[in-house]
Amino acid sequence: MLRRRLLYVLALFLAYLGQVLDVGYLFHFIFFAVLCFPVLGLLVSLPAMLGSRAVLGVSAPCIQRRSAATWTLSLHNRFHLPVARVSYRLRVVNRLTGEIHSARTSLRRARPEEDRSWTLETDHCGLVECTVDRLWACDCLGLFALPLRKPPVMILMIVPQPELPGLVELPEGTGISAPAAKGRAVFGENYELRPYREGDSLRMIHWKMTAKRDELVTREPPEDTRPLPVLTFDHFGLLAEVDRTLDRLAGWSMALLEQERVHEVRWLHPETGAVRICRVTAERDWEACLAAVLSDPAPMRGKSILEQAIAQGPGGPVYQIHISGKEVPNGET
Amino acid sequence: MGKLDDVHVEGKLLLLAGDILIAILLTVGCALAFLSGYAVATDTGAVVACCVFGAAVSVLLHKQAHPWGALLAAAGIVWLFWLTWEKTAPVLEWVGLQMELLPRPPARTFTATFSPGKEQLLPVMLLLSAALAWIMGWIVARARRWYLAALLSTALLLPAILMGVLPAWGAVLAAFAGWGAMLLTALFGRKDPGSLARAQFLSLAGMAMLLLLLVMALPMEGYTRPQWATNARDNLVRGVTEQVDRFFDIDQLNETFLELGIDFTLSGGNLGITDAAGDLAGDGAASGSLQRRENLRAAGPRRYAGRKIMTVGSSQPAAGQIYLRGGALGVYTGDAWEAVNTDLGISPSLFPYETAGRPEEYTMSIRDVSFRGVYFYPYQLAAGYGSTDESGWLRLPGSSEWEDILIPGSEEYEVGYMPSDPRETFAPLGGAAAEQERAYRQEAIPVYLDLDSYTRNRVENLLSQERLLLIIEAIESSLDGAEGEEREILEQNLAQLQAVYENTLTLKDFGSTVELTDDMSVPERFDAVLTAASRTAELLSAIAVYDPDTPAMAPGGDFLQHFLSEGRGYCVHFATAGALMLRAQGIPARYVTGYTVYLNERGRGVVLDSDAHAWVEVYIDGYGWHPVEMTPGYAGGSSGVELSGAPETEEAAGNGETPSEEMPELPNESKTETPEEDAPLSEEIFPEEEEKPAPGKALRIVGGVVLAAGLLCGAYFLSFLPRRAARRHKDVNRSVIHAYRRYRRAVDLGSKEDKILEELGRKAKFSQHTLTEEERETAWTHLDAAAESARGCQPKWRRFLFPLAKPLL
Repeated sequence: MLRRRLLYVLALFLAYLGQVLDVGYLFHFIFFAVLCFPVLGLLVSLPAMLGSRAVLGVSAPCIQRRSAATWTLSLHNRFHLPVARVSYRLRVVNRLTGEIHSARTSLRRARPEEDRSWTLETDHCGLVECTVDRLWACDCLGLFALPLRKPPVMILMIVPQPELPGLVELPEGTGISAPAAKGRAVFGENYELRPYREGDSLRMIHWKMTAKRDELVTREPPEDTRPLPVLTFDHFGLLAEVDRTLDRLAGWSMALLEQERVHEVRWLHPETGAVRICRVTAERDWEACLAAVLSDPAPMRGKSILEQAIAQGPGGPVYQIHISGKEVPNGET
Repeated sequence: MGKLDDVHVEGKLLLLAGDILIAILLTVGCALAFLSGYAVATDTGAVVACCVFGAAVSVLLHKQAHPWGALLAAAGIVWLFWLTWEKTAPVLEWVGLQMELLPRPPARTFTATFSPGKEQLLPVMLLLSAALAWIMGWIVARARRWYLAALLSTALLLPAILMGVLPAWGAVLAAFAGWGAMLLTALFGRKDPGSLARAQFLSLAGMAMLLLLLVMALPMEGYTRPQWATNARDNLVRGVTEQVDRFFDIDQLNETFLELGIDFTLSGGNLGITDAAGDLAGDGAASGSLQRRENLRAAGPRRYAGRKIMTVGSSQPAAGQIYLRGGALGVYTGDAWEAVNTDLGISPSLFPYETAGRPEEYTMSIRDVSFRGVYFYPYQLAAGYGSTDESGWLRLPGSSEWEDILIPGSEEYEVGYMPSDPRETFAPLGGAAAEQERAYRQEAIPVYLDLDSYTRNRVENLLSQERLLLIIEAIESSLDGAEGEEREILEQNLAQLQAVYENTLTLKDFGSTVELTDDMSVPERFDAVLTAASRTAELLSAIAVYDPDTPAMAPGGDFLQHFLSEGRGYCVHFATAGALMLRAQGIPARYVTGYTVYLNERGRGVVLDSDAHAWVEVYIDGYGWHPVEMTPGYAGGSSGVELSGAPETEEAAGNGETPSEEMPELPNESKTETPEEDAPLSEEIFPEEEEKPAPGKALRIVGGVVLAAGLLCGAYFLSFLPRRAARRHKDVNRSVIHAYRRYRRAVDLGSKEDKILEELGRKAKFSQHTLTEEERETAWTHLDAAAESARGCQPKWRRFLFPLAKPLL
């Protein structure tokens, strides 16, 4: 744009010289024509510039680490007119790793419907936010630029590749009760009956007894007296270590969910030092927990959660499983 | 998918229509502008039809995927040219001559006698239109470069524009519309033809609106340059001249130009900036070079470099002032003298010679060292030494119309002339000569009596009794405060005017003293006309003083009015006013330019640029053209031409300064020496000149250039310091980050991505480790490679300039 403006200034100067040095009508006309030309260019380009809209999209909102991911910026023009040039700044921030990629680029000679895609590096886990700002559309002469409305921020989660633990042996029956896993009732013969309370799931209703008693009877699964597994990990370290930690964390959480064991995930917030707790009772809880984990930055150094005493759970003592991403010399984890 | 295909096809058709429309505008606009600009008279309807059809076909052919169709069409056009070459070549050459309107350099003195008719022109114009349509079609459909179209049209029309000829305005606007539409869509991509076509039509509509608004807002009728532009021009000229004066010795510079053979001179106080007519602003109208138009607006303060123009030598010893005639202009437009466009195939300059009955001939050898393409000759040109046409151009015998007979540099030629007073040797014209003179008088002379009503009114007012009385009263009132020389001059003026006043009442009465009747003999008519000229010269010297510093006329004014208002002027002013006043008295008169020179006793003289002069020629029926002097102080000499009517009293010698205050340095003047006729002219006139340029000035210039170059080089090398500092930064991580940032610039310029440098950059930014020196070196080495890669991606011209960007990479 700077080059075009300089060229225009040069053309205007030459036209001015022509008007000054020549007494004829032609150069007089040319001078005023050159003076008015940018206005014409702007007016001709206005419909295209004002009718342009940018939309930012991603191939999938959640992908596993080392999978392919693509951002797409789509340009739409409702008047089906071309735009000479659209410049924008693309900013990609990984909240977990702290990586920021910022690039200023432009779409030249764009069609009214134009897409530009670029791949994203997914070597590390994280919550990646992609924003497009400083979105400007140039007029047909490249002299003026008008701002376009920014598309909303797109978020992509790069989730870990679950590394399942070999054998999950958890202590049973410590006498400490823990709430039963929700979502999938474990019935069999082991349950108690009680009157229906508002809010009970319809699946919990014992229809036979209800028919017999003529009132709603609910099955109450027995309380889980097993200790609450608490998965802890340190939310700092080298990126590779953090990735491994999250892989193992995901593996453990999957394994526990398969065993229908409600568990908690705890870590220290790297900046505030506060304990972050996520209760995982079902898969969607795990997704929310993962989002929280990936949202927090993972610095190189930090305070280990092992340095402080683990708080008890609501039902009593908990069984802590600390997950680390370090390798030990003999290859065990 | 089918619908998409339909949309795509529709878009392509729209784009095709748009391209054809633009190509038609460009082709028709250029063609018509060309025809009108160079006054090529032909059937414009046929040419337009050919342009329209040709442009449409050309665009269609160029749009094809394969270029065979377009190449075949081009081959066809070339074949047609070849087939009709015998008939086409002369017409093309004539068209080329029409385009050669630039007065310098080099000016051509031959005139084309071949003038094709409409029937001969039409086929050639159609062929040229077809070729133009082919080119424009390629530019619009293939190249899509608006500046190519603009360059082509400008190149075709530039000579006409520089001469101040405005081609047909509608055609010019059509070309503007085409260029504008191409420029407005230049930045759009071609991937979507439909959207591009929509943009094209929008641009065309926009251009049409803009041009319409401008035409309405800036009317052509009565246009005069705005005052702000005139002021800007004056400031610019003044500023540039002051700077040139400050740093250069103008005389030295002009000498340098002359030695280098560059035909360009600077005049102190005025630069060579041309007006639309091509004249040098402020150089003085009487520059001595032959022009088809004398721009009187350029007649400002006179400045000369003292440059040698010619050296002359007469075959007979003769001392005194002679006039070397260049050319004559007969049409007065208010701010210019223009050549009369008539070609009667006769040589009016030979008439006086004919009447004199061939007395003893004088010859004059002239060597022109500052050749401007004009042959000058003294009065009166003798037969056998060339011929002249209506504008007075001398064509030497033996020259071919179609050859360039000018030799750049110096040229020596000889002309014959008859210096004595024709009244002494007058004999009436007879036979064919008389017939020729009669025909010339009937066909050509009325132009030289032409005077528009405004000018006639001013002249009659000038010569009226009331006007004279006003001037006399003004001078009498000025006498009160005047003393010494000023009082003497005023008293002389007063005496002259009173004498004129007593002899004249109105213009008609003034003319009645020299009333010309049909029964007058030629000598009587000769005396009467020259007496009228003499009285006119007396009057002019009374009402105006000679002043070489007379300022130029303001644009839009009338030159005669400007002269009368200023009350001063030099040869240009006096000659213009004199010619117009003589016409008002019924005497055909025209404006002549050339040089005056004083010959020594051996008949030798050197003509300088300051010897440029303007005078008047009057036509005497039955005789021909005769020169008369209108500028006070230019009394006629004894040799060469004797100007009749030149007053011999001191009063008539001028009211102020004499025109030439410095006599040119003449060769050895000795009355006892007899001319050595065998000695080559050049040896006597051109002694070996061993002038050396002043070393001080040259050294300063060279030193300045070297210093500037040194400063630039120094600045360039200093600009590498930040890069060096970044490379040697004590913090290795920071150094690598610097390298990474520069690498990103290289990538923006087209370099390939470098994974190693990316990795190192990330490591430097995010890693907790400090990088090693080896990693630093690796990063910078890869940066250098990326910079080199970026350079390789640039177009050739940018590659050449790429080292300037190296400090940033």
